[in-house]
Amino acid sequence: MTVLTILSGAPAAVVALTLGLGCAAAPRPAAGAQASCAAEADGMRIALESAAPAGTRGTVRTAACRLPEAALARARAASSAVLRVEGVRTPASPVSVLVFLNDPQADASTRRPSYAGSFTLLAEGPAKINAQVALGAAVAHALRERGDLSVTLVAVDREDRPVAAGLAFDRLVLDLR
Amino acid sequence: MSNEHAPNEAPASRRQFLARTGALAAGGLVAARSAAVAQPPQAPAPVIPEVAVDESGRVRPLRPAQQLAAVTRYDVATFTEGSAQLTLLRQAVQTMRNRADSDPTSWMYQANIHNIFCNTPPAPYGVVHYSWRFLAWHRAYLWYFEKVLQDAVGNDPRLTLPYWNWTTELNLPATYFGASNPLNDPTRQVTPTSKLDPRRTAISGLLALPTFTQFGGSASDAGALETGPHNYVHSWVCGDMCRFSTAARDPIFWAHHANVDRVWYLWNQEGNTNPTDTAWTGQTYPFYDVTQKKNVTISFGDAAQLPVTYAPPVGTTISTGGRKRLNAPVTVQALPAGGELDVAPAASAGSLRVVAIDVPQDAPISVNVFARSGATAQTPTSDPSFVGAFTLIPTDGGHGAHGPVNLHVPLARLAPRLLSAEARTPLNLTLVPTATPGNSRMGTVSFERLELQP
Repeated sequence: MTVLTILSGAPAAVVALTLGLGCAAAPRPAAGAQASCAAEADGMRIALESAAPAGTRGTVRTAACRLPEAALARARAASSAVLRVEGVRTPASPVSVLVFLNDPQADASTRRPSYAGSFTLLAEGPAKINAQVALGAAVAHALRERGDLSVTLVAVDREDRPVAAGLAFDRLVLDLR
Repeated sequence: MSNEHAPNEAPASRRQFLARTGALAAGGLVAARSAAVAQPPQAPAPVIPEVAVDESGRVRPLRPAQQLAAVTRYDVATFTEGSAQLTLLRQAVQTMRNRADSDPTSWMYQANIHNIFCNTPPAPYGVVHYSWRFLAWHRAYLWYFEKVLQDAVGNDPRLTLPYWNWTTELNLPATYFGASNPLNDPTRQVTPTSKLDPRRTAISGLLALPTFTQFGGSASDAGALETGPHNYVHSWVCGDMCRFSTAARDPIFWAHHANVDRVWYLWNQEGNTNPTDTAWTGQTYPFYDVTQKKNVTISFGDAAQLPVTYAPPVGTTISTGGRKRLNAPVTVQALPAGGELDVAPAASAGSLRVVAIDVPQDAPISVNVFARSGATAQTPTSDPSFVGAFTLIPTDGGHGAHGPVNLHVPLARLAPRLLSAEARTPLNLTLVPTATPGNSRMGTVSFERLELQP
């Protein structure tokens, strides 16, 4: 199992959040956003920590990390993947979060080839939950011809309009098998 | 109608339900075993085991055949106007709506069970959303609700809960609209022409998940099915469906959750296993069992094995005009021009289900699948129309001859074709059999039909 862990030091707000993995094509940090990252000893877990404060609006990006060779090989062979979103705050009204890979310019269209999956939260339930998104073979597909990976999350309402307030969460974990 | 209550009303009160279930009594839960499990299943029908082909072409271990024949649920698309099934469904719902809200067999009472256990359930119960409780609790909820529904029309065997296959049926069924229709809910924020986003209801990515923790959740995590298509459809319909406290008041809730349950059923059919941890299997919840006229409890371990099966959805079955022998290329029309099978380009590439294909007894056979007519044994897999392949090998003599299996073949390159301009033309699939390398003979097999799974 390969697990890439993307940590947010403070709860991040998903409005259009891009998390870059890979030095070769790191997205430009947005104004006001700072980040650091580190690969764990076994090279199979990569933690990206964002200094984005809770409630940040607009694009939040982390610094880039090199995807270790072993992790890259496994990621390319993975037939399924899951993005685990930890500590998601229950919104005041339903919000969907669209997940795109290697597409920092992604908008709210699931017709983009970079679209990989989504999750939705309703306005009731526990205050914080851990959500999971099935990405299928999208990660392997995204890494087929390149060695870096970025994740862009776009929060939309039930009319598919971007949600200005976003959706707060604590951490992302990409689990490849 | 009796369902027209303000959202904060609770006609079948929380106290009424809890008192009936014994949850308010000293000592808490009644420890009786599930009535559902105690009921003798109907005569089991033969079940063809499901097997899957992984990305490298290997066939996953076969799952032992199970006897799941007591209740068969059908695609709501088969509940057409004038059909006995739709008439019975409407009669049953109207009968339940006409009952006093304090009646355990009334519409509101049943709907409020969802309210109680989805937000602030009493001790010792946990919230049944956003964890591994989600699938098993809702399976049991559907089971006991379905018994109430059937009881309302004299237990007519033609009525079982329909499922709404929102993967390909992108509209909320028209049969659920209409001012005087008991299946209507005036709070919905969609119309008969509103369409779901098929990229958010595709299930092949979910069916590829190897663990229940990912698919159905864990003690601390919601599963991908719940926070994926399940929540999306609730949000899309909205109105009562937007809130756990009111969701089950909308009749579409039951067809939606029957489909969620069907996806779990399909995931199990592909050889994936449910938790064996007693922390999951041993959890019990109370429900009203109309067949015994009393409250019972059922464990998740028992709920997972309730004898429910799902008939294939309408529209995904590819007619082959009878059993086809694979001794030469076989071409079938998978989708008519403008067919609506529409899936995400990468995340959910879709799969082909080859129903009741023989396991060869004489020699191996490889089959390449091309998304066009005219492909032959000489057509290379580098051909742009190549979308997938599988290989079948003779059964091991130590295990004896094997009957037919249902084979799931991932079609990694099919989805981009469906999203392209070619989707406007009929989609043909050609299955090209060949001998495997090193074998002069090709195995002898035939299959019953094909199904496309977005």
